[in-house]
Amino acid sequence: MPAMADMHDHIGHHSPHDSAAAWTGHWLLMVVAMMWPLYGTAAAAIAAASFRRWQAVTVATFLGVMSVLWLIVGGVARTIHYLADSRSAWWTVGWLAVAIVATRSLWRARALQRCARVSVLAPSGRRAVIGAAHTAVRQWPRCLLLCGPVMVAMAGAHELMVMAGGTAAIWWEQRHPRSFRDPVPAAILLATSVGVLIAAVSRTLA
Amino acid sequence: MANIRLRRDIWSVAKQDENAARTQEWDPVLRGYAHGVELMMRLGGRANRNTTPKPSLDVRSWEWMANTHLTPKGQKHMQPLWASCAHHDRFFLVWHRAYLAWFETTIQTLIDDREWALPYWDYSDPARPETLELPWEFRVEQRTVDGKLVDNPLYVDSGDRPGHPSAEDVDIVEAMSERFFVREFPVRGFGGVDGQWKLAGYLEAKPHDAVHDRLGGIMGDVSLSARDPIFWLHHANLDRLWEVWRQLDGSVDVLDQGGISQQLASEWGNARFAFGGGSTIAVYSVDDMMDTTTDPLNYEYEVITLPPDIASTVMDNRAKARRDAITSGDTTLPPHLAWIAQSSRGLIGEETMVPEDTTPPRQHWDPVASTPGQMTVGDQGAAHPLRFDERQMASFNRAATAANALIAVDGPARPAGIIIALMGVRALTGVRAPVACHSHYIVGVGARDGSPIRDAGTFSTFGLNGTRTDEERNYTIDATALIPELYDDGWDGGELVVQVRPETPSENPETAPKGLSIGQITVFLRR
Repeated sequence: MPAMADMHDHIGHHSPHDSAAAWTGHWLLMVVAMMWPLYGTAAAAIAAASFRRWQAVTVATFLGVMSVLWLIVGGVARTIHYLADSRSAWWTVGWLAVAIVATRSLWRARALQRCARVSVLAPSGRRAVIGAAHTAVRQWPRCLLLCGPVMVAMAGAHELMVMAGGTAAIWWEQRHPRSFRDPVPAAILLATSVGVLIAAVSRTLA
Repeated sequence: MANIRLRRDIWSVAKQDENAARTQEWDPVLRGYAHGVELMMRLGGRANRNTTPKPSLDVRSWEWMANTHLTPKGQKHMQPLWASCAHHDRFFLVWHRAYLAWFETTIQTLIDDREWALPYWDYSDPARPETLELPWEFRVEQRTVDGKLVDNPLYVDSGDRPGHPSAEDVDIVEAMSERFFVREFPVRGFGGVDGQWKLAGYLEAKPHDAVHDRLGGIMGDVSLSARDPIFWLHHANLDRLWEVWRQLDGSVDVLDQGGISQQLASEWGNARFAFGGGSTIAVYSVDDMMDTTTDPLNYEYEVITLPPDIASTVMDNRAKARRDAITSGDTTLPPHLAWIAQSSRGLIGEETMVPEDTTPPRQHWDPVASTPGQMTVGDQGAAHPLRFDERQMASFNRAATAANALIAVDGPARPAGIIIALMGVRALTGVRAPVACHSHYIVGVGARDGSPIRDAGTFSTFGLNGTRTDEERNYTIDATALIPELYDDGWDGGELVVQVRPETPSENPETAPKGLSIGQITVFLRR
């Protein structure tokens, strides 16, 4: 069994030492691929309340604000990774463990049901844009609870296995927000954690 | 499998007068209920406004039960499974069914009677107007147990339960006439809407909200209402009305309904509701809730048919809605069946040979006008002319004309429907009155400034008084039936005056509730 230190620098193809521009690009790509599909219901509500010629603007505002908020979270997470110089598999597994434990939290289960609401939506003009932005801010805590630990786990290392497992867990939970203590996302995250460790050990041994 | 218990109509077991309720032994159903409530109250909590915050409270206590629904402002020692109620939500009915099941099981355990079943308060039979009053067992301060007068745990002081509903408040025709459990915003279904809108389904709006508000006091405050023992019988009746609706010909429940969003299908199919706390958590799945005669529910209702007059009106309304969908081309029936239905309607005068569609009619609703900003509704109400957006109307008219052409309707395009959406409605906070807004408001529409205002509908503000100041609700009022009158008033289809006013303005302006703020009013037209 390799020592913990040996498993450093053995995860992912993007480290915290990548250029800021490259990291931002990859992070945004990840947000678009993983997060945007989760916002379909809210985007549909926003579009239904808007005049046709304003639909693109209001939906884009909602998605834009969500993405900016995710960018901020990513930036914070990346800074933590950078300061801790944590390219270790243990770091990723640690955050996945946080995500697994969180799925058992009663407070989190409660919060997941509460934030999925749209705000007052005007059909056009400045108030339409503000309403769409406010909806994004209002739903943000839910997104953070749902995806935060998994996204932080990926902030330092965009490993395919973590992305796939994290995405599956988040999507499942987003689709079943009222499924109290659903074992499925926890099982997916656990399998991902085991996979990350096995991959890291294999690379170390190789 | 356990025996199937019978949830009785309260009027089959209640005493006929005040004296009998005070001096005679009660029916076992109500005796068991009172005993259970009393035991719960001994564990913590009372049927009043006072909170008794304790760091450790029994999950079977009255306060825990009530707080699971919603907690008063400033509640201390908050628990994660408190304040879990689903209001203005498509999960309203199923969540409350699970909540009642948990409550009923707790009482059974406390009184050690597995056969006991919660009774229901049926108030919706127009032939029995006396049922609008509360049963005497809930209105006498003392009752007789083993020959002795003792305090009645079901009693609530008249100041905390000042009113009673009117026949209009408990009218279930509109709710029962809707065939589909959910519809797409801005249209409402029997149980809610498909989407993220905080919007009540028909049954939740009336009789649920209306009865709460009319009883007033504790029942009129959503954060306290479950502390009133009548709360549980009111909700048992709503649960029964859901069963009544489900057994009506043509009703389509959530997962049987075509065209619902994947989000709703997965959310509904996997929902599980948790109650209690610590090591005593009871979990109920939606599957558990869809058949009341199997585990873990094991109950049925004494009556699950509509009174004959209501049944006849409901079925007529459903048939008319179906005919309208077929003639307007909105039906979701396959084309050959729609053709048969339309043909047979003319030939044999009925459509029973064609199966009912399980997908709601295809309706296209477009927003065409909105208020420029927030609107305040004081004691005298407020009206606002809403000018329709010209470019949006041009687009609407093109689409409507094309749709009309498809079904060969002559003449210029006219809207097939009008819905007024009131979004982000909040109670204005104030210190002038014990409540912040009136309980019932009327929404009226006029063809133009100076035209007569015609009442389109009402809404009840249950949930806004007593809750956090940022608590808000959305309401939709269908004004479609007024379209001919609006044209008679000279409506040019270019604007609409929307008025919102309290149903009963205060007699004394000094004590008038402060009123409502409405974040946005939007007018939707249907092509």
